Amino acid sequence: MIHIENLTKIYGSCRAVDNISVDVKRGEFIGVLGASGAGKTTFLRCINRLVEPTSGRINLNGGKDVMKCGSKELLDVRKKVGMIFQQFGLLKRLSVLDNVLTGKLGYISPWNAICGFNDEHIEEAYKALESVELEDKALERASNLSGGQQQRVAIARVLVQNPEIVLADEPVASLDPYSANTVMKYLKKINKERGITILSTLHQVDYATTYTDRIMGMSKGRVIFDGSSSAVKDDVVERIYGVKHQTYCGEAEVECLC
Amino acid sequence: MNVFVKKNNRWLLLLGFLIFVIWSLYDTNFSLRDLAFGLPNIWYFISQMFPPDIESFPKLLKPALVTIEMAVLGTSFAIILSIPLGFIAARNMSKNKVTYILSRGIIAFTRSVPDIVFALIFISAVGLGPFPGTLALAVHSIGMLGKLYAEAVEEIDPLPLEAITSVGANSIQRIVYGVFPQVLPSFIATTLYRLDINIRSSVVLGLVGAGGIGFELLTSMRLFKYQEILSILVVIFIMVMGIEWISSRIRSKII
Repeated sequence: MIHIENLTKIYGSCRAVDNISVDVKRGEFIGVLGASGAGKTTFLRCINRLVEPTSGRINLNGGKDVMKCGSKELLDVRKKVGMIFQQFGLLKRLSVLDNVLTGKLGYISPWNAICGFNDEHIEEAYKALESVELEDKALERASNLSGGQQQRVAIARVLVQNPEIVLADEPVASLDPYSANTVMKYLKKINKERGITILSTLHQVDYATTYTDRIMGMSKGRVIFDGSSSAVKDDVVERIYGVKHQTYCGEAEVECLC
Repeated sequence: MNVFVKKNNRWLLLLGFLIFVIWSLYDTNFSLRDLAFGLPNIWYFISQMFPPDIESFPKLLKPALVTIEMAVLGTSFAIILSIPLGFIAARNMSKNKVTYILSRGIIAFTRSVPDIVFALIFISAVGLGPFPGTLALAVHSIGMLGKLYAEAVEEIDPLPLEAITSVGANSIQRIVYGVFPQVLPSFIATTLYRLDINIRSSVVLGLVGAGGIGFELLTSMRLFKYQEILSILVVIFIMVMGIEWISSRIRSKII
């Protein structure tokens, strides 16, 4: 499903993502673990080129190398790759429904930007909200919702996108434990029920072992562990979050995200 | 900035400012004595204005309307020109250095040239009347609208925009859905404020021949029709207050 070869991203002198090669099967739920600044976020954003990789190959679902896609083709790639963000990325002044509808933007014609949503899209958005159990909030302002609810709206936005892959960047890092578990359950649900392949960076090891099938451990831009979630024992965790390991290029990474 | 340390500097700054103020009093021939001696003249001027010439009100309505129309039209044209300029002049939107600097340049230039100068330029091109006044307001307003629009765009939260990008939205959609909803309240507030300013400016532009009620004011002053001047001032006052009331209503509804 995802085939990545020698993916590298260099910021100045810092190799934020250092020569990563990885294969992901359809329907896998992968947790990407690592200390702050290990390069997980950059790695994730390289996959749909929200961050422009320095070099490497990315094949999604047997398609063309994402690195070689022109700007038009890149839009089609992104359409099939949903993304969840730590800070949700919702338009706070708009209604929940409007936010969910933006997931359909890749499907409406480029020149139809002003009023391009039809009844079918709206119905689909309501269905997506139903599947995260927020249909009664559809017409509320997004900013009125709690953090956990906002993240579920973000999941609904991804659902109307009808993606093959979802990249989740620290989806639960800003949430309380209860909301975090709810959000992880919904991710697990869309993974199992719709067969969507999910790659999620996570801070806490227990979320990764509880909800994901496979764990990639990153340190200094490299993959230092890759195996089944059940294989993750204390020694592996220690290697990933090694005491000796200080934040490697955290600042550079933060800068590039803006 | 450290507020609590280095107090000496602050005293120096205050002293410097006081010296400048005193210097300015001297340079601007500021004289309370002259003012005191001139008071009777002010009294004469004002007493001549009373009672206002009520009969002139009906013929002032049309020029007053024209003044408002000049302001509304000028502001509208300015909005149309300023939105694209504001986006190009926003650091987080503009990838092209040349267009960025060019748009910043246009915005700074139109802001620094007073609207009266633009009015005179356009009067020399198309003659006296409200048309050159409208053009002057439109061009000069770009300076403020473009600058504040650009600032609003620069202050957006980048995350929703990134989210919109991640769903495969093209660049028009990114602006319409990722940026516009975020900047709309600020755009509207800025525009209404500019409309307020333009109502007052269009009166002043009339004084240099660019139509509307300002032009009537000029004529009455030239002819020393004091009572008519007062009725014109009353009309201007009602007009300005009315527009301010309407725009504050809109502002509180939307934001």
